[in-house]
Formats: sequence, structure tokens, C-alpha cells
Amino acid sequence: MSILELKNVCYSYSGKHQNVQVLKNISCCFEKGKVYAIVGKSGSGKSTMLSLMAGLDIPTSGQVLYEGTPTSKMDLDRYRRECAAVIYQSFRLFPLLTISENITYPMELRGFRGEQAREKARELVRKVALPESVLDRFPNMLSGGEQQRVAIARALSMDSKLILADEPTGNLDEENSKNIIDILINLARQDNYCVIIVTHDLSVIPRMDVVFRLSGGELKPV
Amino acid sequence: MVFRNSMLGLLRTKGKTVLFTLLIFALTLSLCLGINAWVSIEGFLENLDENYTTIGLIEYIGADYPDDTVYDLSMTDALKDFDFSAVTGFEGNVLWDGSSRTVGYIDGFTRTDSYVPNNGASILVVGSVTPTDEGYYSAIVHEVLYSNVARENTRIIINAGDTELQYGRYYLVYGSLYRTRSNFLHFSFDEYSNPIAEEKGIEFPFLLDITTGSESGPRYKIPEDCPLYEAADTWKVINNSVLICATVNIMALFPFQQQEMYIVEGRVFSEDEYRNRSKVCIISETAAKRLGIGTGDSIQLSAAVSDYPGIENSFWVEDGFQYSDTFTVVGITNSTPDKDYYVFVPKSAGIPVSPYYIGYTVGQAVVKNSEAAAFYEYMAPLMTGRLNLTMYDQGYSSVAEPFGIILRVIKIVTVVCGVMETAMLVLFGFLFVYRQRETSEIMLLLGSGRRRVCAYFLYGSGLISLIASALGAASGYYFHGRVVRFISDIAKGYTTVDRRFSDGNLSVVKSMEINLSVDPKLFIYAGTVICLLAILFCLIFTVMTFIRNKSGMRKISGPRKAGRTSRLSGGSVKYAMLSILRGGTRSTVIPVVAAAVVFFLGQMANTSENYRKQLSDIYENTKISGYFTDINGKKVGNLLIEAVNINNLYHSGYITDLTVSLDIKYYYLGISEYADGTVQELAPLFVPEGFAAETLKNYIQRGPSLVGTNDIRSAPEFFYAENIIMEFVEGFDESFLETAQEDAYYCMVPVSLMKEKGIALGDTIRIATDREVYSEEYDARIFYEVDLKVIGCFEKQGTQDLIYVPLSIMFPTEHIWGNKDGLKGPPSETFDTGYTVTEEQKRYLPRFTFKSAGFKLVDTTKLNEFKDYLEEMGYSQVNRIGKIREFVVLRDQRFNNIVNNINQQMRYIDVLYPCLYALIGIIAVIISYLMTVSRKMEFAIMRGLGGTKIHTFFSFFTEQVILCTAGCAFGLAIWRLLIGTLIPMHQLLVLGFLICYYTGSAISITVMNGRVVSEILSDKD
Repeated sequence: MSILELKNVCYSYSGKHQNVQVLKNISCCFEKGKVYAIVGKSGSGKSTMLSLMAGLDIPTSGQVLYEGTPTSKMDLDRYRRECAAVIYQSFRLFPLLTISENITYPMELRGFRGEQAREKARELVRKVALPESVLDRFPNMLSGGEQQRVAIARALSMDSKLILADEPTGNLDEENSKNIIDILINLARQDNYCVIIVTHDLSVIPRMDVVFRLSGGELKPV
Repeated sequence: MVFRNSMLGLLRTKGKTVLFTLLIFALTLSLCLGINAWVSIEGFLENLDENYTTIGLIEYIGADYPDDTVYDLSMTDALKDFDFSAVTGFEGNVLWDGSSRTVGYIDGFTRTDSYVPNNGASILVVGSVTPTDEGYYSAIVHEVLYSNVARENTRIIINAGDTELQYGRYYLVYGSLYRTRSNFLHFSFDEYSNPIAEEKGIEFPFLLDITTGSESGPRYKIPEDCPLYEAADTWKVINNSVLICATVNIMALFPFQQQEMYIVEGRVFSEDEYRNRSKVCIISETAAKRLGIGTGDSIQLSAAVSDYPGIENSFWVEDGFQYSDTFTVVGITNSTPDKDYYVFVPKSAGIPVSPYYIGYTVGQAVVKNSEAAAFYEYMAPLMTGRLNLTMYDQGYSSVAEPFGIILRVIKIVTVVCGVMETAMLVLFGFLFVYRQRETSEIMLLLGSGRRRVCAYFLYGSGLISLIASALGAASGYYFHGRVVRFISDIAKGYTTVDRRFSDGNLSVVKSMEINLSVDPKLFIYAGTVICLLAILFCLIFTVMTFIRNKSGMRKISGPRKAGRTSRLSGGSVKYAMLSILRGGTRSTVIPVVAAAVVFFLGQMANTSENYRKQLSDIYENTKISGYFTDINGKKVGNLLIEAVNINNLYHSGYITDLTVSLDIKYYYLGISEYADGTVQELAPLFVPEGFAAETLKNYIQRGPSLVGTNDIRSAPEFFYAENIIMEFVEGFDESFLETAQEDAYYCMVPVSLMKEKGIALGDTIRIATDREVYSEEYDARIFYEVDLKVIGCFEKQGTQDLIYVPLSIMFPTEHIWGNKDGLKGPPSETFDTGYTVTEEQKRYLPRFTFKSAGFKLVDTTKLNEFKDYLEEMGYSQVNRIGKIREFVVLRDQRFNNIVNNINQQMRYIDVLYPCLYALIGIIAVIISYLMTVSRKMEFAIMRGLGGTKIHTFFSFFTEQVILCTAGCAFGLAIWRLLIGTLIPMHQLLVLGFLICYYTGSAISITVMNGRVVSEILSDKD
């Protein structure tokens, strides 16, 4: 069973002067253990689609189903807390929390606190190939690549099998981009995560299991 | 094309366009109205300043005050040490016009007023002298050398005393002639006295037998060298003399300033005439009619100055006038009963001035209108003894003050509007131009050029500002009249000081209306400036868009050093604490601002509290006294105050320490018993028959008085005295006047009377009054007599030998004071506590009037209430007649000045502080809002990670609460340490601030929480 499914999802932006339909009847499924890429030109609606999948917004029509349950029937806060982990292009780390605190934050939301949480953080930092010394640093002391790894570690702390990455390499150089993609691919293939990457970087496509192209509001497999 | 695109831009952002148009319009309107009100009120105040004159009239309140013709030696003595330079040294003093008076004479002018120096002086040739039954002589006037009363061939009654006159003889007599009530002309011999003549060794007979004895020729002949000829000529001058008043500013003289006198024809002196020794003068209408002249005509004005004080001693015909010159009449004043003989000249005219004061005016200082209170306070310490300063401002302060206060508020509001307008225009420029810098960049990239870019922005923003400012200015012009009228109405009903019945309000009141018309250019200029400013700011921001931002190092935000991962268990409180501890500047701003606000609020609260306390202390520690006076506010004695009114006033509950006096004339009979017990037989004063009775009564009426009072210090003779030198028999003091007498009547007599009559303390004297009674002992009518034991004496300060007795001797004090012990203090009952006027009081009280009355207020806080009471009852104020023609003055000027200053400050506080409080509250909300929205990204992250709304809310709210509360607590602690007290008002205000901050924070967090997460994530600042 797919972990995430979109059924006839439509989304429109309503402005003062115009109404723009960004997504038109998108239907697709996503399974664990695979890496998906959604590509498209700028402004094609990729990030919008990711927002819907992440529970950051709700579709104008259609459904987003997580393990068969429509997200519209779920508590979206809980959905974001427990089901869908998001990695952002601009990392989105708390500037005043240490790396350890950033990573344990989602755990604390779920009630995991104290040494248990900190131990998990250490483990996740190692998992994303960062030294433990970063744990007491603040995000502004890390490079872009390191920050993105921390973001991945935070996403992993949610124990969710669904990872949504919105342009995760958008602010990184080539080498760091490759490292991040490697981590995400390993998560999917080795740890059975469903990883969905929204990107305009066509160089990652060959490494993806499934690639969708978003164009004119429609999603088509490549 | 550029213009079209600019207009399209406006139309497609209707909300912003309309909003800014409205804002600029509203602020322009407020600013124009504010400026207009400012200009109008300032102009009005300038007008007031020009049209009102404030004088400080310094007078000596002597025994014969307010007689303007006497010479008082004690005044000269009192002024010997007076520091006149202190008066001229006062900064607000415009000029000092010291009293400069001289006895003068105008050829052809005669006087018939009641202020003629000696109207009864008569030098007559009398004959046909026959004795009367009463011991007088009846005679016919054959020749009048001088008299205002007698004519030839009139019959007069001569009181010759011990002098014998014979029938058939002719006499040249000098004396005093007056008409009795029964129309007899009564003549008494008098000694003519003129020190100028006496210095020359001239002696004046009062009686000369000038009978010639001739049968065929003249029956009498006055010796050619008889000095009474000169005496007659001297009296002709003295009794028709004018009082020359030299001045440097006639409009500052009291009668003119108080509009008692005013010009009915011609003009006042010009500035040149004051400066250039001009021979010009102003006379009364009466004088002009009698002289048959008008403005432009000339008079021969002479001045008589001698080495001797007093009008009568200023001139001796043989010596003539010391000065005489021709003066042109430039102005004629209205007729006044007491000043028709005044002639006003500029001081520079050079008329010699008498070295002695004539009348009780020391002079008047013209002070700046706004400095009246300050001048009064400045001069108060110098007004020692009987010197008195009264400020007359023609009502300036009561008119100007409210406008002054309102003007200050308007200035503040206008400046604030101006600042807000400027801020609005800056914001306008920023939002309309700078926020569209992308448009600017694109236009430049497409090769439009800077000029077209400027035109694009300036067309749009210029149109908005032009329309808005023009509409604002036009509306301002349309409404300006209404606004100024509204302000005027507020000012009229607005007063910080109740000047009714005040000794600071003895002046007549002039009224002036504010000018409602205004130059429309004011509005055009204001609108134009605003429009140009708006365009200027837009231009500035346009230029700023041309400046490319150089991309430099990415700013590092966040902590600079590694920290220690917190061991706190988690949750919103942990996030809040970590944000506080690691927030750096952000975490210090709020506590610092909060502490500063606490100090500011403390300052405001304490200032307000201090003023209230100051006011309360002043009310508690100040005792206000009041007294009755005449219509001009000058006399304190010889009044007619009904006992009924005094009784009502006393029992009103507002007053205490009521003091009254009344008097009857007395005739000293002698010492009836000496202190050692020796008794002396004294004949009564029998009432003679016929006109002799009238003569005797007239004589008694012109004599001294027996004064019944319950407080000698409040009696008219001593009302203005600083000290009274008194001596008493052992066991007595002045309080004897308060107590009721049963077995013996006590009295205090002047030392001069004791010396004259050989009276000693402890003696009992007998006096007769002018009341006739039938004596069974003598089987005849006698003047009522009473024995008074002399238990005290005093140095008199008047001209007559007044004797003081307890009030109870002359008035049944129980009818006012009831059975109260002593006559001081408040009444035992008031109308409010059940006092009613008994039938007996209703019968007795209307029979009595008091000559003077004074009192103190029980409770100064009820001053205004008492004034309401006086007004309601119909009492009159000086120059303002009420239903009851009894004039009351309250000595509250200094009190009012102090209270007024405090009240003014408190008015500012009452108006300004709530605005400031509101502003602080708004700022608190705005700051809390800004603190929230600046952390949108953290919101988004938190919500994006699945944080609930409640978790997110408390993560931020807790932080704001802790920061603000800590800052306030810190501020309060420091305040407490430094100042020592935390008044409830201060605490309340701080609580209000906290509530505003918490509320702003809660609302902004809630609003943020309500947004869709993805929107927040994609939001731009």
C-alpha cells in the first residue's frame, strides 16, 4: 500500500485580480523504499504540491491520503508532527536553538524529552555524517551543507517514513548537493523511507526511482 | 505613456490610494485647523495685550483713605524707606508713574463740588447783631469778602462763645459758615491759619469791630491793611483750585484704566507730547463748560507749591503762583462728581510738583499683562505697614488665561500633527515608491531613463498628495470659523480660578471677541507645503531606488559562540527561556523599554500626585479672610451692612471669626470716677431749645465716635495696620471686646485723649451720645450718657479720638452669636444643622446696621462653594452690583495665584497624560506586534514541524510575558529604591501597560497562528 496518495488534487491561488489554477486533477501514489523526484519549471507548482503533501495547506479539491486516510480528516498538526517530515531549501532551523535542540524539538513535541531524546539526536547526527561536536553549536556556525544535514537529522527524528524535501540542494554547491542526495537515497533504499524530492535540478533525475514532471498543472511520469 | 502607467498603478491599488488620500487629507485638515487656531489665538492674545492695560496701584491706606485731597504725615513717614527702585527693577514693569500732584488754578474756573477744601470758610461783614435766647447772636451779612455760602443781606446765627457782640456795631468776622438741617446759616468763629503767611509774621483776627460810628458816611470801614483781604483772596484760589496730575501715561492712571474717566472729546496725549515738554492738558467736561471752552482752546494754568503740606497750605496770595503758563486743551473727559477739578498734564510739561503727597496714591506701575501675578508676588514683601498693592488688569487674566492654556494645548497638538504628517508623508514615499523599486529597476533595465522613472512615481504620488492636501486645506478654510468659535466658547466657560469676590478682581472688565476671519493664504501655504513635502519625499525615495544595493557579506544572525545544550525538559516554556537567554539584543530591548516606561509612568503619576498633594496642603494650610467694602472696593468702614444679612451669613456655615463694628458719636463729659475711687459730679448734657439743639447735635455729629466691636484689629481704623500699640490694666487684654458686659462697661481710649483730658488707666469716664432721653432726675431732656471704665489705651492711627467698647454694649450680640461663649469662632448652629431665625431676631435685627464687617472662611476647600453662596444670596462684588448692595471682598488673590499655577499644571496633566497613556498603550501593542511578526519564520518552522497552535502560542507569549514583566518589575524595584514610594496610581499605570503589551502580544501571535503555514513560509517581510 502506498504511503501517500494524491487523488484528483486541484489547487488554485485566488488573487484580487485573477484566479490561477496551479494543480489540475493530480493523481499519483508514493511508496516506501523509493525515491521520487518531482521536476518542473519554476512556477509550475512543485512547491505547492509538496505543501499539500506535507499538510502545510489543503487542496482546493481532491484528496491527499496518508496510508489511506485523507489528511483533510486528520489533525494536520499531528500529521506534520508524526507522519510527514519536511526538508526545506533554506534549511529552516531555529536560529537560537543548538543543533541538538533543533533535532530533539520534534521529539519533544511528541513527548520524548531528556537524555533519551539527546541520545537519539547524537545518533542521528552520526547518521547524517556529522561530528558530535556540532551538537552544541548554533545553525549560523554551520555551513549550508551541514545545516541541511541537520535538517535531515531533524526530519529523521520524527520517526516518520515519509520525507518530503523541497529543493533540498537549492542553496548548496555541487559537492554538498551530491552528499545530500546520497543521504536521501540511502534513507529510501536502505531504511525504507518514502522520499519525495521536489527539484528543478535535472542532474538528480538519473538517480531517482520515479520521476514526475509537473507542467501546466498536470503531473505526468517521466 | 508614463503618466498613463502611473495612473493605472494608482487605480489598481485602490485601497492604498484611497487610504493615503484620506490620511493625508485628515492630517492636512487637522494641521490647517491647528495652525489656524494657533494663529487666531495668538493674534487674539496680542490684541488683548495691546488693548488691555494692567496696573499695580500702590496706595497708602491711611486713616482718611480714600480721600484724594488730604495730606497724611504717616504716609510720608512710611514712604521714606520705600525702595522705589524695586518697583522699576521688576522685569515685567513697563513703566512706573509715581504720583505727581500739585495744587493748581485756572483763571475763571469755579468749583461747586463737595471736595472743596473748606467750603464753609467765610470772611464777612456782619451787622444788626442781636442776641438770641439760646445764647447766640443773630446778624445780617452786609458784605461778603469771601464765602461760598452766605450772600449779602442774609441772616446768620453766630455762635460767639465767650465773645460779646453788641447791637449796632459792625464786625468783620472770620469763621466757618454752614447751613443746618432747619436751613439756618450757622456761623462759628475760627482762626485763620496759613503757615506761609504766618512765617511772614502775619496775624489774622477772627473778629474786628469795624464800626465807624458815622451817621452820614459808611457805617463801617475795613482797614486797608487788614490781612483778611488777602485771606479772602487766598480762599478764592484755594477753594476753586484744581488738582494738577502730571503723568507719563494717562491711560494707566487708575480712573482711566478703570474707565471711571474717559475721553468724550478730543484725545489723550501723544507719545511726543509726553516726551517733549508740551503744554497740553486734559480737563473735565464740567470744567470745559464752566470755562466755555473746547478742545483746541487754551487756558491759563497756574501751580501753587509751598514748603508746607496740604492743599490749604499751598498758596498765599501775596506770594502768588510759582508757575503759570498757557496750556492747550487736547482732551475733555466725562464729568465725575469727585474729579471734575482734576487737570491732567504730561510730566514733561515741567509743572513743579508738590513735595508732599496729595491723597493716598503712591503711584502705579504699568506691568506686562501676563506678569500681574508675578508682580504682585514680587511686591508683596515690600507692602509693609499700610502700604497696599492692588492689581487692576481690566479682566485681562480672566480673558487671556483660558486662551493661553488652550493655545499651549493647540501648539502641542499642532506640532504632533505636523510630526505625524511628516511621518505619514515619509511612509507614503516609502510605500508608494521604495516598495516599488522593482518597478524602478525594470524601467531602468528597459532603458526608460531616470527622468521617466521619476516622472512615473511623481505623477502618481503627486496627484494623491495634491488632491489630499488641497481638499484638506479647503476643508480647513471652510471649517476654521466654526473651530475658532468652538474654542472661544470653551475658553469662555473655562477657568482655572474663580475670581468672583476676589481682591484680585477689583478691576472693571473689558471684553473682547476673537476675530474669526483669517487670511485664506494660510491654508494655501499649508496645503502647498504639505504637497511639496510629499513630492519631495517621493523624490528622495525614487533616488534611493537608483542606488543599487551592493551585495556584501551575508549577515550572520544568531549567537556568535557555541552554547550549551539545555537540559530543560522541553515544551513551550523551554523554548521561551532559551529564546530569552540566547536572544541577545532582542531580549534586552523589551525589558529596557518596559523599565523606561515604568520610570516615565512613575514620573507622570508622581507629578500628578505631587500636584494634588500640593493643592491639598495649600487648601489645608491657607486661611482666607473676607470683608465688606464699598462699590469701589476702597472703604472698609462707614458702610451700611444690615445685621440681618450678617446673621444669615454667619449661620450659613461657611464663615467663622465674624467681626463687626458699629459706632455712635459721643461727646466727652469728663471723669466720673477716678481709679482710686474718687467720684466726681458731672452735669449731664442738656438738650437745648430750638436751633441750638440742632447746632449741638451737628457739633456732636462732626465729633469722634464710640465704636462697638468684637475685635479692634478688624475695626476700620486698624484694618490695614500691622501693629497696634496697646496697654491694659492688669488682668485685661483686647479680648474684653468680645465678652458681654454685665456690671460695668469697659473701654479703650486713645493715648492722645488721655493726655488731653488727664485720663488714667482705671478711671471711669462719662460720655454723652446724640440720643435724647428724658431725665427724671433733672426733669429735662438730656443727651443719653454712659460711664465707661478705661481698662486699656492705644496709639491712635486715625485723626479722631475713637473710643472702643465691647460690641455687646451697642448691639445685643445674642441675636447673632446666640448663647455662644465669646464672639470668636464658628457659630454653634448653622442653617444646615437646624438654625432658624427667631421671631425676636426678626424684630430686632432689621433695626441695626454695621459700619464694618469681616470674617474668615471655615474651610478653604469650600471657597468656591462659598462664592456660589454669596452670588446666590445676591451679594455684590466690587464694580458689579448684585441684589444686595453690600460689597464683599475675599482676600484670596495670592491663594488663587498659587492654586491657579498648580491647577494649570494639573489641567495639562489631565488633558495630556491620558493622551500619553493611550499612546504608551498603543506603542506597547505595536511593539509586541512587531516583536511577534519579526519572528514569523520561527512560527512557520514550529507549525511546520507539527507544533500545535497552543504550543506555538505559549512558546512566544511566555517569552513576551517574562521579558515585559521582568522589565516592569525591575523598573518598579529601582523606582522604589530611588524614590521610596510606589503610589497606587503608578502601579495601576504599569499594570495597564502590561495588559496592553500582553494583549498586543496575544493578538499578534493568535493572528499569526491563524494563518496557513505555507503562507507564512512564503511570506516576505
